[in-house]
Amino acid sequence: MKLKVFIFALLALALGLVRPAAADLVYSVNINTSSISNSFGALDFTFAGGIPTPPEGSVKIFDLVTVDGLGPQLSGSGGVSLSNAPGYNNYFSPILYGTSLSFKLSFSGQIVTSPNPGAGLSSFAFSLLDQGQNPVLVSSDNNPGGFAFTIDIGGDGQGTVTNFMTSGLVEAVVPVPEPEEYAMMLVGAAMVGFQVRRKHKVNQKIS
Amino acid sequence: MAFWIQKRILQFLPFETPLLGIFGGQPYDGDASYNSIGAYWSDGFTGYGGVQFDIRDTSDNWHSANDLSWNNVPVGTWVHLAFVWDTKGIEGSTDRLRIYRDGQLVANNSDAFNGVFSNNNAVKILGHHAYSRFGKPTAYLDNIVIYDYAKTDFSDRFDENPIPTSPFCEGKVSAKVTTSGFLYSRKTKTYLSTVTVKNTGSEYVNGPVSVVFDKLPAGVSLLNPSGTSLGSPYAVIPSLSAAPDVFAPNQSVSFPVQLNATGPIKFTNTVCSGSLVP
Repeated sequence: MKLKVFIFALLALALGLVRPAAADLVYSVNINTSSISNSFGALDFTFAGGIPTPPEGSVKIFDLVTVDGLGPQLSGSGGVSLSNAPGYNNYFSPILYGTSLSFKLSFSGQIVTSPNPGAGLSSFAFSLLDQGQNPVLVSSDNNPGGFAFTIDIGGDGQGTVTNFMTSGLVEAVVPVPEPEEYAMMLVGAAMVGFQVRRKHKVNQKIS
Repeated sequence: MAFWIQKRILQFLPFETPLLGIFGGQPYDGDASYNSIGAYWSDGFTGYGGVQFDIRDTSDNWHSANDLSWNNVPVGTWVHLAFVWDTKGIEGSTDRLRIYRDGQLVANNSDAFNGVFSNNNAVKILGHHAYSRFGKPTAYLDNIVIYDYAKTDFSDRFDENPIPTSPFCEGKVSAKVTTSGFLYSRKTKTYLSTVTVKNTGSEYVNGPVSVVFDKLPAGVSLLNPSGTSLGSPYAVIPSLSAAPDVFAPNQSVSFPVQLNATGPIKFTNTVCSGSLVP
């Protein structure tokens, strides 16, 4: 009987307290493009692994919003995904710049869940370009590639942002549990509570 | 006399690089120590240039065979050399002296002479010019074989190590090399990355320290390399570019690189201290 109670309690704890092993790395990007509003240009996203080859991973670009402009249709959580596999992994899209541009990035896969400290980095770069594909709204200091920002996913599964934008922010988004995760935690807590109460009653009867 | 030899520099320059005595003595060492049969790598000022095989006859006259194409032999490649002589003519021919390289006849001399000048000097193997020495060898020698007849067929020669495919450096550094992802820039039309080198050994290493990008696939090249070593480009690490710079154990240094690529980028690497053989 005691073993049964013990297993039941363990199951309840597992349901209530154990969350997914590792969440995706999510970044929110907000750029003030008012100084180039109504001009045409292009957005360039690229993702690549270094040497030694890092674990597999991908980045999803989603929730892209161009205020008062016309950008690529990456609204909602669908978006576009790029892998870090060897080769040219790129998404390039024309844009009519508005007053602001925002989007989110979500890095997932083994680069986040099972990172390899001995491997090369997985690097992401975003570029804001004009019609002639020249970088705009960026500083040229220590930025030979003219990137707007880069994010390196290291051997610890964490990201390092290098921001060259003169009017843009890249911020890590703290993971917020999904509603299902909240529900699972509640169920787990309820099961633990039920079991404690039941054991308490049994003890009372015996005494 | 037959052996394997590997050049460590491409060519000797008069008054700049030392002459190499291959056997028999050292050029400019003087008759007192020079043997009656010998060979050396001349610079064209002393000697005729290339590899020179000399015999001093009983009348104190010198006879030479000269392999001038020796100067085209690449650095770092093992080649088989043989110096053959017969005062009665080699294999019934009029040739008295011959030089074979990798089994092929490359030089000869058919001067008639009756015998070799007699002396009791020791036969030296490998020596430098008397007054212009390098701190390091200008050639390696291996597997020396001396025959008591005028051998001309060297097809049975021992096969020395195959031609090395890795670059030569004065000293290999125990190091771990990692890179960031290779990001394509539309501004430069090239791929950019940051190379990080960590000294994983227990020794302090003096600069210059270089990273050799070996086995780059076709269509992939390193932009603005510091040089090439046996066809592989290398980059001197900017923060470790000179002798006073020290690379300490567990220290990490990073530097940017740019590559042109028409396909996936991959390479092996060697981290070298000191200069590299071109």
